[in-house]
Amino acid sequence: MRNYRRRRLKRKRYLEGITSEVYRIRNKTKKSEVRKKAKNIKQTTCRKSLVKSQLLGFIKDSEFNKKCRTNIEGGKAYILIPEVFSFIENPDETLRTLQKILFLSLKKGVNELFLDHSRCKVLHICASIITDIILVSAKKQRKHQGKKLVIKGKLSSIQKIREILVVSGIINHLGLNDEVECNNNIKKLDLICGDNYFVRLGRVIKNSGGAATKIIEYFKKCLNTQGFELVREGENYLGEMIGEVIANCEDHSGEYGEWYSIGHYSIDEHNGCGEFTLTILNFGQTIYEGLKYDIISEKLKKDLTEMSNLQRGFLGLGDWNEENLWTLYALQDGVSRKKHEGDYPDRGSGTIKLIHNFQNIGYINNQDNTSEKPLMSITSGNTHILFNDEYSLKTEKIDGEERQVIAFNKENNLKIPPDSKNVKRLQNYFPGTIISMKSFLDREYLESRMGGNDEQKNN
Amino acid sequence: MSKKIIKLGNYRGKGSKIFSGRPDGERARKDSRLDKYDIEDVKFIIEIPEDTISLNSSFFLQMFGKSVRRLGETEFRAKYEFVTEDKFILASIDDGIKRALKTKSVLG
Repeated sequence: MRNYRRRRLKRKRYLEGITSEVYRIRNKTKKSEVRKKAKNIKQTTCRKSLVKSQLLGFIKDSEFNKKCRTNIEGGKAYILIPEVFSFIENPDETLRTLQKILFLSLKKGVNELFLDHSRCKVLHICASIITDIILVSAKKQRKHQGKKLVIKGKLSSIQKIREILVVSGIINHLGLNDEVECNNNIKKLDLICGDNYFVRLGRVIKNSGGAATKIIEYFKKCLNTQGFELVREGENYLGEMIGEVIANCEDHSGEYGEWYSIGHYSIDEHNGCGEFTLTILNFGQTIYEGLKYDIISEKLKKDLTEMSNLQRGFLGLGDWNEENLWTLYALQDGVSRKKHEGDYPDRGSGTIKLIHNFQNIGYINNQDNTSEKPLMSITSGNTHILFNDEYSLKTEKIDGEERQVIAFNKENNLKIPPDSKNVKRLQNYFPGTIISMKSFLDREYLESRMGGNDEQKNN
Repeated sequence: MSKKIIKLGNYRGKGSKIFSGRPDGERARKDSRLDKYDIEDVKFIIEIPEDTISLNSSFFLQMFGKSVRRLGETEFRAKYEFVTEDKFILASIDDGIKRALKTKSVLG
Protein backbone atom coordinates (compact mmCIF):
# COMPACT_ATOMS: atom_id res chain seq x y z
CA MET A 1 0.00 0.00 0.00
CA ARG A 2 2.78 2.34 0.90
CA ASN A 3 4.54 1.51 -2.35
CA TYR A 4 1.34 2.25 -4.25
CA ARG A 5 1.05 5.62 -2.63
CA ARG A 6 4.71 6.29 -3.22
CA ARG A 7 4.33 5.32 -6.85
CA ARG A 8 1.23 7.48 -7.17
CA LEU A 9 3.01 10.45 -5.67
CA LYS A 10 6.03 9.90 -7.88
CA ARG A 11 3.81 9.68 -10.92
CA LYS A 12 1.96 12.81 -9.88
CA ARG A 13 5.17 14.74 -9.38
CA TYR A 14 6.47 13.47 -12.69
CA LEU A 15 3.30 14.62 -14.46
CA GLU A 16 3.38 17.95 -12.66
CA GLY A 17 6.96 18.35 -13.72
CA ILE A 18 6.06 17.76 -17.35
CA THR A 19 3.07 20.01 -17.08
CA SER A 20 4.98 22.82 -15.50
CA GLU A 21 7.67 22.44 -18.16
CA VAL A 22 4.98 22.48 -20.82
CA TYR A 23 3.38 25.51 -19.21
CA ARG A 24 6.73 27.19 -18.98
CA ILE A 25 7.51 26.57 -22.63
CA ARG A 26 3.98 27.46 -23.71
CA ASN A 27 4.03 30.69 -21.70
CA LYS A 28 7.46 31.57 -22.95
CA THR A 29 6.27 31.15 -26.49
CA LYS A 30 3.11 33.08 -25.74
CA LYS A 31 5.06 35.94 -24.14
CA SER A 32 7.45 36.23 -27.04
CA GLU A 33 4.57 36.16 -29.50
CA VAL A 34 2.80 38.85 -27.55
CA ARG A 35 5.95 40.94 -27.48
CA LYS A 36 6.47 40.42 -31.19
CA LYS A 37 2.92 41.45 -31.95
CA ALA A 38 3.23 44.56 -29.81
CA LYS A 39 6.44 45.48 -31.56
CA ASN A 40 4.81 45.04 -34.94
CA ILE A 41 1.90 47.17 -33.95
CA LYS A 42 4.23 49.88 -32.71
CA GLN A 43 6.25 49.80 -35.91
CA THR A 44 3.17 49.80 -38.08
CA THR A 45 1.70 52.69 -36.13
CA CYS A 46 4.90 54.69 -36.46
CA ARG A 47 5.03 53.91 -40.14
CA LYS A 48 1.40 54.82 -40.53
CA SER A 49 1.82 58.09 -38.73
CA LEU A 50 4.65 58.93 -41.10
CA VAL A 51 2.92 57.64 -44.16
CA LYS A 52 -0.69 58.32 -43.62
CA SER A 53 -1.34 61.98 -43.65
CA GLN A 54 -4.54 62.63 -41.76
CA LEU A 55 -4.88 65.70 -43.92
CA LEU A 56 -4.84 63.72 -47.15
CA GLY A 57 -7.35 61.31 -45.69
CA PHE A 58 -9.60 64.17 -44.68
CA ILE A 59 -9.38 65.90 -48.07
CA LYS A 60 -9.98 62.63 -49.93
CA ASP A 61 -13.26 62.16 -48.07
CA SER A 62 -14.47 65.69 -48.71
CA GLU A 63 -16.30 67.29 -51.62
CA PHE A 64 -12.96 68.74 -52.67
CA ASN A 65 -11.97 65.36 -54.08
CA LYS A 66 -13.64 65.25 -57.48
CA LYS A 67 -13.07 63.21 -60.59
CA CYS A 68 -11.58 65.39 -63.30
CA ARG A 69 -11.12 65.03 -67.01
CA THR A 70 -7.47 64.48 -67.61
CA ASN A 71 -4.88 63.65 -70.21
CA ILE A 72 -2.67 60.87 -69.01
CA GLU A 73 -0.10 59.33 -71.33
CA GLY A 74 2.29 56.70 -70.17
CA GLY A 75 1.65 57.54 -66.53
CA LYS A 76 2.36 61.24 -67.10
CA ALA A 77 -0.28 63.86 -66.38
CA TYR A 78 -0.24 67.48 -67.44
CA ILE A 79 -1.73 70.36 -65.43
CA LEU A 80 -1.95 73.89 -66.75
CA ILE A 81 -1.81 76.50 -64.01
CA PRO A 82 -4.31 79.24 -64.90
CA GLU A 83 -3.42 82.81 -65.74
CA VAL A 84 -4.63 84.01 -62.35
CA PHE A 85 -3.87 81.46 -59.66
CA SER A 86 -5.19 83.16 -56.56
CA PHE A 87 -7.99 82.74 -54.05
CA ILE A 88 -8.31 86.52 -53.80
CA GLU A 89 -8.83 87.23 -57.48
CA ASN A 90 -9.93 83.97 -59.13
CA PRO A 91 -11.21 81.52 -56.51
CA ASP A 92 -13.29 79.17 -58.67
CA GLU A 93 -10.71 78.43 -61.31
CA THR A 94 -8.03 78.16 -58.63
CA LEU A 95 -10.11 75.58 -56.78
CA ARG A 96 -10.76 73.63 -59.96
CA THR A 97 -7.03 73.45 -60.65
CA LEU A 98 -6.27 72.34 -57.11
CA GLN A 99 -8.92 69.63 -57.36
CA LYS A 100 -7.25 68.40 -60.52
CA ILE A 101 -3.86 68.37 -58.78
CA LEU A 102 -5.32 66.34 -55.92
CA PHE A 103 -7.12 63.90 -58.21
CA LEU A 104 -4.07 63.23 -60.35
CA SER A 105 -1.63 62.96 -57.48
CA LEU A 106 -3.80 60.26 -55.91
CA LYS A 107 -4.58 58.43 -59.15
CA LYS A 108 -2.90 55.03 -59.34
CA GLY A 109 -1.97 55.17 -62.99
CA VAL A 110 -0.10 58.48 -62.62
CA ASN A 111 3.57 58.49 -61.70
CA GLU A 112 4.56 61.89 -63.05
CA LEU A 113 2.89 65.29 -62.79
CA PHE A 114 3.86 68.21 -64.99
CA LEU A 115 2.80 71.63 -63.70
CA ASP A 116 2.92 74.25 -66.41
CA HIS A 117 3.18 77.78 -65.00
CA SER A 118 4.15 79.36 -68.31
CA ARG A 119 0.80 81.08 -68.82
CA CYS A 120 0.46 82.23 -65.24
CA LYS A 121 0.48 86.01 -64.83
CA VAL A 122 -0.74 86.34 -61.26
CA LEU A 123 0.20 83.88 -58.56
CA HIS A 124 -0.52 84.32 -54.88
CA ILE A 125 0.95 82.36 -52.05
CA CYS A 126 -2.53 81.21 -50.96
CA ALA A 127 -2.95 79.04 -54.06
CA SER A 128 0.68 78.01 -54.14
CA ILE A 129 0.71 76.67 -50.59
CA ILE A 130 -2.34 74.45 -51.09
CA THR A 131 -0.64 73.00 -54.17
CA ASP A 132 2.49 72.29 -52.18
CA ILE A 133 0.64 70.71 -49.26
CA ILE A 134 -1.22 68.35 -51.59
CA LEU A 135 1.86 67.38 -53.58
CA VAL A 136 4.17 66.90 -50.61
CA SER A 137 1.57 64.74 -48.84
CA ALA A 138 0.98 62.67 -51.96
CA LYS A 139 4.70 62.17 -52.57
CA LYS A 140 5.29 61.02 -49.01
CA GLN A 141 2.42 58.60 -49.21
CA ARG A 142 3.65 57.10 -52.45
CA LYS A 143 7.18 56.79 -51.10
CA HIS A 144 6.06 54.67 -48.20
CA GLN A 145 4.02 52.53 -50.50
CA GLY A 146 7.26 51.89 -52.36
CA LYS A 147 6.15 53.96 -55.33
CA LYS A 148 7.25 57.25 -56.82
CA LEU A 149 5.51 60.43 -57.76
CA VAL A 150 7.74 62.60 -59.88
CA ILE A 151 6.91 66.28 -60.08
CA LYS A 152 8.16 68.34 -62.97
CA GLY A 153 7.15 71.65 -64.35
CA LYS A 154 7.70 74.80 -66.30
CA LEU A 155 8.19 78.10 -64.53
CA SER A 156 6.59 81.36 -65.51
CA SER A 157 8.61 83.96 -67.41
CA ILE A 158 7.40 86.59 -64.94
CA GLN A 159 10.15 87.23 -62.40
CA LYS A 160 7.78 87.82 -59.47
CA ILE A 161 6.10 84.44 -59.99
CA ARG A 162 9.39 82.62 -60.38
CA GLU A 163 10.52 84.14 -57.08
CA ILE A 164 7.42 82.92 -55.28
CA LEU A 165 7.81 79.38 -56.62
CA VAL A 166 11.53 79.19 -55.92
CA VAL A 167 11.61 80.91 -52.54
CA SER A 168 8.24 80.12 -50.97
CA GLY A 169 6.60 77.69 -53.37
CA ILE A 170 6.90 74.22 -54.80
CA ILE A 171 10.60 74.44 -55.72
CA ASN A 172 11.40 75.32 -52.13
CA HIS A 173 9.07 72.75 -50.61
CA LEU A 174 10.44 69.95 -52.77
CA GLY A 175 13.90 70.87 -51.55
CA LEU A 176 15.18 71.80 -54.99
CA ASN A 177 16.40 75.30 -54.24
CA ASP A 178 19.51 74.69 -52.18
CA GLU A 179 21.64 76.74 -54.48
CA VAL A 180 19.27 79.66 -54.75
CA GLU A 181 19.92 82.50 -52.37
CA CYS A 182 17.16 84.66 -51.10
CA ASN A 183 18.07 88.14 -52.29
CA ASN A 184 17.50 91.25 -50.17
CA ASN A 185 14.38 92.13 -52.10
CA ILE A 186 12.59 89.07 -50.81
CA LYS A 187 11.61 88.05 -47.33
CA LYS A 188 9.88 84.77 -46.77
CA LEU A 189 7.95 83.40 -43.85
CA ASP A 190 8.39 79.64 -43.77
CA LEU A 191 5.25 77.60 -43.39
CA ILE A 192 4.04 77.59 -39.81
CA CYS A 193 1.74 74.78 -38.82
CA GLY A 194 0.61 72.69 -35.90
CA ASP A 195 0.95 69.45 -37.84
CA ASN A 196 4.13 67.40 -37.24
CA TYR A 197 3.69 65.78 -40.64
CA PHE A 198 4.98 68.89 -42.38
CA VAL A 199 7.86 69.52 -40.03
CA ARG A 200 10.36 69.51 -42.91
CA LEU A 201 8.50 72.24 -44.77
CA GLY A 202 8.73 74.82 -42.04
CA ARG A 203 8.22 75.08 -38.34
CA VAL A 204 5.76 73.44 -36.03
CA ILE A 205 4.23 75.82 -33.53
CA LYS A 206 1.32 74.42 -31.67
CA ASN A 207 -0.16 77.58 -30.20
CA SER A 208 -1.83 80.58 -31.80
CA GLY A 209 0.13 83.10 -29.73
CA GLY A 210 3.49 81.62 -30.72
CA ALA A 211 2.56 81.61 -34.40
CA ALA A 212 1.28 85.18 -34.27
CA THR A 213 4.52 86.29 -32.56
CA LYS A 214 6.55 84.77 -35.41
CA ILE A 215 4.39 86.47 -38.03
CA ILE A 216 4.85 89.85 -36.37
CA GLU A 217 8.62 89.39 -36.29
CA TYR A 218 8.41 88.64 -40.00
CA PHE A 219 6.31 91.72 -40.69
CA LYS A 220 8.88 93.86 -38.86
CA LYS A 221 11.64 92.58 -41.17
CA CYS A 222 9.50 93.48 -44.19
CA LEU A 223 8.79 96.95 -42.83
CA ASN A 224 12.50 97.51 -42.23
CA THR A 225 13.10 97.25 -45.98
CA GLN A 226 11.12 100.49 -46.35
CA GLY A 227 13.19 102.15 -43.66
CA PHE A 228 10.48 101.92 -41.03
CA GLU A 229 10.17 100.18 -37.71
CA LEU A 230 7.07 98.83 -36.12
CA VAL A 231 6.15 100.88 -33.08
CA ARG A 232 4.29 99.62 -30.08
CA GLU A 233 0.86 100.56 -31.43
CA GLY A 234 1.45 98.68 -34.67
CA GLU A 235 2.66 95.63 -32.79
CA ASN A 236 -0.46 95.59 -30.67
CA TYR A 237 -2.63 96.04 -33.78
CA LEU A 238 -1.06 93.09 -35.57
CA GLY A 239 -0.97 90.94 -32.44
CA GLU A 240 -4.72 91.31 -32.03
CA MET A 241 -5.45 90.77 -35.69
CA ILE A 242 -3.32 87.73 -36.37
CA GLY A 243 -3.58 86.13 -32.94
CA GLU A 244 -7.36 86.15 -33.13
CA VAL A 245 -7.51 84.70 -36.62
CA ILE A 246 -5.28 81.77 -35.76
CA ALA A 247 -7.14 81.23 -32.48
CA ASN A 248 -10.35 81.09 -34.54
CA CYS A 249 -8.82 78.52 -36.88
CA GLU A 250 -7.90 76.36 -33.88
CA ASP A 251 -11.28 76.76 -32.31
CA HIS A 252 -13.69 76.32 -35.17
CA SER A 253 -12.17 73.82 -37.54
CA GLY A 254 -13.86 70.82 -35.95
CA GLU A 255 -12.59 67.28 -35.53
CA TYR A 256 -9.88 67.44 -38.12
CA GLY A 257 -8.48 70.88 -37.50
CA GLU A 258 -5.04 71.84 -38.66
CA TRP A 259 -4.07 75.38 -39.43
CA TYR A 260 -1.20 76.71 -41.53
CA SER A 261 0.31 80.09 -42.17
CA ILE A 262 2.78 81.34 -44.77
CA GLY A 263 3.97 84.71 -46.02
CA HIS A 264 5.92 86.19 -48.89
CA TYR A 265 7.24 89.71 -49.38
CA SER A 266 9.01 91.15 -52.36
CA ILE A 267 10.09 94.62 -53.41
CA ASP A 268 9.23 95.87 -56.85
CA GLU A 269 12.46 96.93 -58.53
CA HIS A 270 10.75 99.75 -60.44
CA ASN A 271 8.89 101.62 -57.71
CA GLY A 272 10.61 100.27 -54.59
CA CYS A 273 7.30 99.28 -52.99
CA GLY A 274 6.90 96.05 -51.14
CA GLU A 275 4.06 93.63 -51.74
CA PHE A 276 3.23 91.70 -48.62
CA THR A 277 1.07 88.58 -48.80
CA LEU A 278 0.01 86.47 -45.89
CA THR A 279 -2.18 83.39 -45.85
CA ILE A 280 -3.73 81.74 -42.84
CA LEU A 281 -5.77 78.66 -43.48
CA ASN A 282 -7.25 75.64 -41.84
CA PHE A 283 -8.58 72.39 -43.19
CA GLY A 284 -11.60 71.09 -41.39
CA GLN A 285 -15.16 72.22 -40.92
CA THR A 286 -16.16 75.22 -42.98
CA ILE A 287 -17.76 78.24 -41.33
CA TYR A 288 -21.20 77.23 -42.61
CA GLU A 289 -20.82 73.56 -41.63
CA GLY A 290 -20.01 74.62 -38.08
CA LEU A 291 -23.21 76.65 -37.87
CA LYS A 292 -25.44 74.20 -39.70
CA TYR A 293 -24.39 70.86 -38.32
CA ASP A 294 -22.94 71.53 -34.89
CA ILE A 295 -25.02 72.10 -31.81
CA ILE A 296 -25.53 75.83 -31.59
CA SER A 297 -27.86 77.93 -29.46
CA GLU A 298 -31.51 77.95 -30.45
CA LYS A 299 -31.51 81.73 -30.54
CA LEU A 300 -28.60 81.85 -32.96
CA LYS A 301 -30.16 79.24 -35.23
CA LYS A 302 -33.43 81.11 -35.22
CA ASP A 303 -31.72 84.44 -35.97
CA LEU A 304 -29.70 82.97 -38.83
CA THR A 305 -32.73 81.27 -40.37
CA GLU A 306 -34.88 84.37 -40.09
CA MET A 307 -32.19 86.59 -41.59
CA SER A 308 -31.65 84.32 -44.58
CA ASN A 309 -35.41 83.89 -45.03
CA LEU A 310 -35.71 87.68 -45.35
CA GLN A 311 -33.55 87.42 -48.43
CA ARG A 312 -35.25 84.38 -49.89
CA GLY A 313 -36.82 86.50 -52.60
CA PHE A 314 -33.40 87.66 -53.72
CA LEU A 315 -31.68 84.29 -53.70
CA GLY A 316 -31.92 83.70 -57.42
CA LEU A 317 -30.89 87.23 -58.35
CA GLY A 318 -27.60 87.48 -56.53
CA ASP A 319 -26.69 83.84 -56.98
CA TRP A 320 -25.93 83.28 -53.31
CA ASN A 321 -27.56 80.68 -51.11
CA GLU A 322 -28.05 79.99 -47.42
CA GLU A 323 -24.41 78.96 -47.03
CA ASN A 324 -23.11 82.25 -48.43
CA LEU A 325 -25.41 84.33 -46.23
CA TRP A 326 -24.69 82.38 -43.04
CA THR A 327 -20.95 82.68 -43.74
CA LEU A 328 -21.36 86.45 -44.04
CA TYR A 329 -23.37 86.61 -40.80
CA ALA A 330 -20.76 84.51 -38.99
CA LEU A 331 -18.19 87.27 -39.58
CA GLN A 332 -20.20 89.88 -37.71
CA ASP A 333 -19.44 91.24 -34.28
CA GLY A 334 -20.87 88.97 -31.58
CA VAL A 335 -21.82 86.09 -33.86
CA SER A 336 -20.25 82.73 -33.11
CA ARG A 337 -21.42 79.14 -33.26
CA LYS A 338 -19.94 78.73 -29.79
CA LYS A 339 -21.98 81.53 -28.32
CA HIS A 340 -24.36 80.30 -25.69
CA GLU A 341 -26.32 82.79 -23.64
CA GLY A 342 -25.59 81.06 -20.36
CA ASP A 343 -21.95 80.05 -20.46
CA TYR A 344 -20.37 81.87 -23.36
CA PRO A 345 -22.34 84.98 -24.22
CA ASP A 346 -19.22 86.94 -25.17
CA ARG A 347 -18.14 84.90 -28.18
CA GLY A 348 -17.76 86.31 -31.67
CA SER A 349 -15.03 88.93 -31.65
CA GLY A 350 -12.18 87.28 -33.54
CA THR A 351 -12.89 87.89 -37.20
CA ILE A 352 -14.10 91.41 -36.60
CA LYS A 353 -10.68 92.35 -35.22
CA LEU A 354 -9.08 91.03 -38.39
CA ILE A 355 -11.42 92.95 -40.69
CA HIS A 356 -11.16 96.14 -38.62
CA ASN A 357 -7.37 96.14 -38.44
CA PHE A 358 -6.78 94.98 -42.00
CA GLN A 359 -8.71 97.91 -43.39
CA ASN A 360 -6.07 100.25 -42.04
CA ILE A 361 -3.09 98.58 -43.63
CA GLY A 362 -1.12 100.00 -46.50
CA TYR A 363 -1.77 101.27 -49.95
CA ILE A 364 0.62 102.29 -52.71
CA ASN A 365 0.31 105.76 -54.12
CA ASN A 366 1.19 105.48 -57.77
CA GLN A 367 2.59 108.35 -59.77
CA ASP A 368 -0.50 108.54 -61.93
CA ASN A 369 -2.57 109.23 -58.78
CA THR A 370 -4.06 105.76 -58.73
CA SER A 371 -3.38 103.56 -55.80
CA GLU A 372 -2.94 99.86 -55.32
CA LYS A 373 -5.22 98.75 -52.64
CA PRO A 374 -4.94 96.03 -50.08
CA LEU A 375 -7.21 93.09 -50.64
CA MET A 376 -8.35 90.31 -48.40
CA SER A 377 -10.57 87.37 -49.06
CA ILE A 378 -12.14 84.66 -46.99
CA THR A 379 -12.93 81.42 -48.82
CA SER A 380 -14.83 78.78 -46.91
CA GLY A 381 -16.72 75.87 -48.47
CA ASN A 382 -18.59 77.29 -51.47
CA THR A 383 -18.40 80.89 -50.25
CA HIS A 384 -16.03 83.65 -51.23
CA ILE A 385 -16.02 87.02 -49.49
CA LEU A 386 -13.84 89.78 -50.86
CA PHE A 387 -12.77 92.75 -48.73
CA ASN A 388 -11.74 95.78 -50.74
CA ASP A 389 -12.10 99.48 -50.14
CA GLU A 390 -15.65 99.57 -51.48
CA TYR A 391 -17.30 98.49 -48.23
CA SER A 392 -15.94 98.83 -44.76
CA LEU A 393 -16.74 97.87 -41.21
CA LYS A 394 -18.96 100.37 -39.46
CA THR A 395 -20.18 100.79 -35.92
CA GLU A 396 -23.94 100.39 -35.63
CA LYS A 397 -26.12 100.91 -32.59
CA ILE A 398 -28.26 97.86 -31.76
CA ASP A 399 -30.72 98.81 -28.98
CA GLY A 400 -28.22 101.28 -27.56
CA GLU A 401 -25.27 98.89 -27.76
CA GLU A 402 -22.43 99.44 -30.24
CA ARG A 403 -21.61 96.56 -32.57
CA GLN A 404 -19.48 96.42 -35.71
CA VAL A 405 -21.16 95.36 -38.90
CA ILE A 406 -20.09 94.86 -42.51
CA ALA A 407 -23.00 94.03 -44.79
CA PHE A 408 -21.43 94.72 -48.21
CA ASN A 409 -24.20 97.05 -49.34
CA LYS A 410 -24.57 100.85 -49.35
CA GLU A 411 -26.96 100.83 -46.41
CA ASN A 412 -24.67 98.52 -44.39
CA ASN A 413 -27.79 96.58 -43.52
CA LEU A 414 -27.66 92.79 -43.12
CA LYS A 415 -31.37 92.56 -43.96
CA ILE A 416 -30.64 93.80 -47.48
CA PRO A 417 -28.78 91.60 -49.98
CA PRO A 418 -25.00 91.96 -50.15
CA ASP A 419 -23.16 93.02 -53.28
CA SER A 420 -22.61 89.85 -55.30
CA LYS A 421 -19.15 91.08 -56.36
CA ASN A 422 -18.09 90.84 -52.73
CA VAL A 423 -20.14 87.91 -51.44
CA LYS A 424 -20.00 85.15 -54.00
CA ARG A 425 -21.20 81.63 -54.37
CA LEU A 426 -18.50 79.35 -55.73
CA GLN A 427 -19.05 76.39 -58.03
CA ASN A 428 -16.21 74.56 -56.30
CA TYR A 429 -15.67 73.71 -52.67
CA PHE A 430 -12.78 74.36 -50.29
CA PRO A 431 -12.60 71.93 -47.32
CA GLY A 432 -11.89 74.51 -44.66
CA THR A 433 -11.31 78.24 -44.48
CA ILE A 434 -8.57 80.21 -46.15
CA ILE A 435 -7.87 83.85 -45.38
CA SER A 436 -5.67 85.50 -47.98
CA MET A 437 -4.25 88.98 -47.51
CA LYS A 438 -2.38 91.18 -49.91
CA SER A 439 -1.09 94.51 -48.78
CA PHE A 440 1.59 97.01 -49.68
CA LEU A 441 4.41 98.61 -47.78
CA ASP A 442 5.14 101.84 -49.55
CA ARG A 443 7.52 104.33 -47.96
CA GLU A 444 5.72 107.28 -49.51
CA TYR A 445 2.32 106.18 -48.29
CA LEU A 446 3.61 105.39 -44.83
CA GLU A 447 5.30 108.78 -44.57
CA SER A 448 2.12 110.53 -45.65
CA ARG A 449 0.12 108.61 -43.06
CA MET A 450 2.56 109.50 -40.32
CA GLY A 451 2.18 113.12 -41.22
CA GLY A 452 -1.61 112.77 -41.17
CA ASN A 453 -4.16 111.74 -38.57
CA ASP A 454 -2.47 110.27 -35.48
CA GLU A 455 -5.23 107.78 -34.91
CA GLN A 456 -4.63 106.16 -38.27
CA LYS A 457 -0.95 105.46 -37.83
CA ASN A 458 -0.06 101.90 -38.36
CA ASN A 459 3.64 102.48 -38.02
CA MET B 1 -9.12 90.97 2.35
CA SER B 2 -6.44 88.54 1.18
CA LYS B 3 -4.39 89.12 -1.95
CA LYS B 4 -3.40 86.64 -4.60
CA ILE B 5 -0.95 87.13 -7.43
CA ILE B 6 -1.50 85.67 -10.88
CA LYS B 7 1.57 85.61 -13.11
CA LEU B 8 -0.10 85.78 -16.46
CA GLY B 9 3.14 84.85 -18.20
CA ASN B 10 2.55 81.24 -17.20
CA TYR B 11 -0.40 81.08 -19.57
CA ARG B 12 1.25 82.06 -22.82
CA GLY B 13 2.11 79.44 -25.39
CA LYS B 14 5.72 78.43 -25.94
CA GLY B 15 7.64 81.20 -27.70
CA SER B 16 4.67 83.50 -27.53
CA LYS B 17 4.47 87.15 -26.53
CA ILE B 18 0.75 87.25 -27.17
CA PHE B 19 -2.12 86.20 -24.96
CA SER B 20 -4.52 84.63 -27.38
CA GLY B 21 -7.02 81.81 -27.64
CA ARG B 22 -9.87 80.57 -25.51
CA PRO B 23 -8.11 77.35 -24.36
CA ASP B 24 -5.27 79.30 -22.70
CA GLY B 25 -7.78 81.67 -21.13
CA GLU B 26 -9.78 78.74 -19.80
CA ARG B 27 -6.67 77.11 -18.38
CA ALA B 28 -5.70 80.34 -16.63
CA ARG B 29 -9.16 80.69 -15.14
CA LYS B 30 -9.24 77.10 -13.86
CA ASP B 31 -5.71 77.18 -12.46
CA SER B 32 -6.42 80.42 -10.64
CA ARG B 33 -9.78 79.12 -9.39
CA LEU B 34 -11.51 82.35 -10.24
CA ASP B 35 -14.98 80.76 -10.09
CA LYS B 36 -14.37 80.12 -6.40
CA TYR B 37 -12.59 83.36 -5.52
CA ASP B 38 -15.05 85.61 -7.35
CA ILE B 39 -17.48 85.16 -4.48
CA GLU B 40 -14.85 85.40 -1.74
CA ASP B 41 -13.13 88.37 -0.25
CA VAL B 42 -9.98 88.06 -2.31
CA LYS B 43 -8.17 90.66 -4.38
CA PHE B 44 -6.10 89.65 -7.38
CA ILE B 45 -2.90 91.24 -8.67
CA ILE B 46 -2.45 90.26 -12.31
CA GLU B 47 1.17 90.54 -13.37
CA ILE B 48 1.54 91.02 -17.11
CA PRO B 49 5.00 90.42 -18.61
CA GLU B 50 6.68 93.53 -19.97
CA ASP B 51 7.40 92.02 -23.36
CA THR B 52 3.72 91.31 -24.06
CA ILE B 53 2.70 92.34 -27.57
CA SER B 54 -1.07 92.04 -27.07
CA LEU B 55 -3.67 90.73 -24.70
CA ASN B 56 -6.35 89.51 -27.07
CA SER B 57 -10.06 89.45 -26.41
CA SER B 58 -10.33 85.67 -26.87
CA PHE B 59 -7.96 85.11 -23.95
CA PHE B 60 -9.30 87.94 -21.78
CA LEU B 61 -12.95 87.03 -22.21
CA GLN B 62 -12.41 83.36 -21.47
CA MET B 63 -10.38 84.11 -18.37
CA PHE B 64 -12.28 87.08 -17.00
CA GLY B 65 -15.58 87.32 -18.91
CA LYS B 66 -17.58 85.39 -16.31
CA SER B 67 -16.08 87.46 -13.51
CA VAL B 68 -16.97 90.72 -15.25
CA ARG B 69 -20.57 89.66 -15.70
CA ARG B 70 -20.87 88.33 -12.17
CA LEU B 71 -19.31 91.36 -10.44
CA GLY B 72 -20.13 94.20 -12.80
CA GLU B 73 -17.49 96.58 -14.11
CA THR B 74 -16.84 98.59 -10.95
CA GLU B 75 -16.45 95.66 -8.62
CA PHE B 76 -14.39 93.76 -11.17
CA ARG B 77 -11.91 96.63 -11.43
CA ALA B 78 -11.71 96.85 -7.67
CA LYS B 79 -11.09 93.14 -7.30
CA TYR B 80 -8.68 92.63 -10.23
CA GLU B 81 -5.69 94.91 -10.46
CA PHE B 82 -3.74 94.64 -13.71
CA VAL B 83 -0.10 95.52 -13.28
CA THR B 84 1.23 97.02 -16.50
CA GLU B 85 2.29 100.43 -17.76
CA ASP B 86 1.49 99.59 -21.35
CA LYS B 87 -1.42 101.78 -22.43
CA PHE B 88 -2.31 99.43 -25.29
CA ILE B 89 -2.67 96.48 -22.97
CA LEU B 90 -4.77 98.62 -20.64
CA ALA B 91 -6.93 99.64 -23.61
CA SER B 92 -7.41 95.97 -24.50
CA ILE B 93 -8.51 95.28 -20.93
CA ASP B 94 -11.03 98.14 -21.12
CA ASP B 95 -12.29 96.79 -24.44
CA GLY B 96 -12.52 93.29 -23.00
CA ILE B 97 -14.62 94.49 -20.06
CA LYS B 98 -17.01 96.30 -22.43
CA ARG B 99 -17.30 93.24 -24.65
CA ALA B 100 -18.02 90.96 -21.73
CA LEU B 101 -21.06 93.07 -20.87
CA LYS B 102 -22.53 93.21 -24.38
CA THR B 103 -25.70 91.25 -24.96
CA LYS B 104 -27.30 92.45 -28.20
CA SER B 105 -27.07 90.52 -31.43
CA VAL B 106 -26.56 92.15 -34.81
CA LEU B 107 -28.84 89.50 -36.30
CA GLY B 108 -31.92 89.73 -34.15
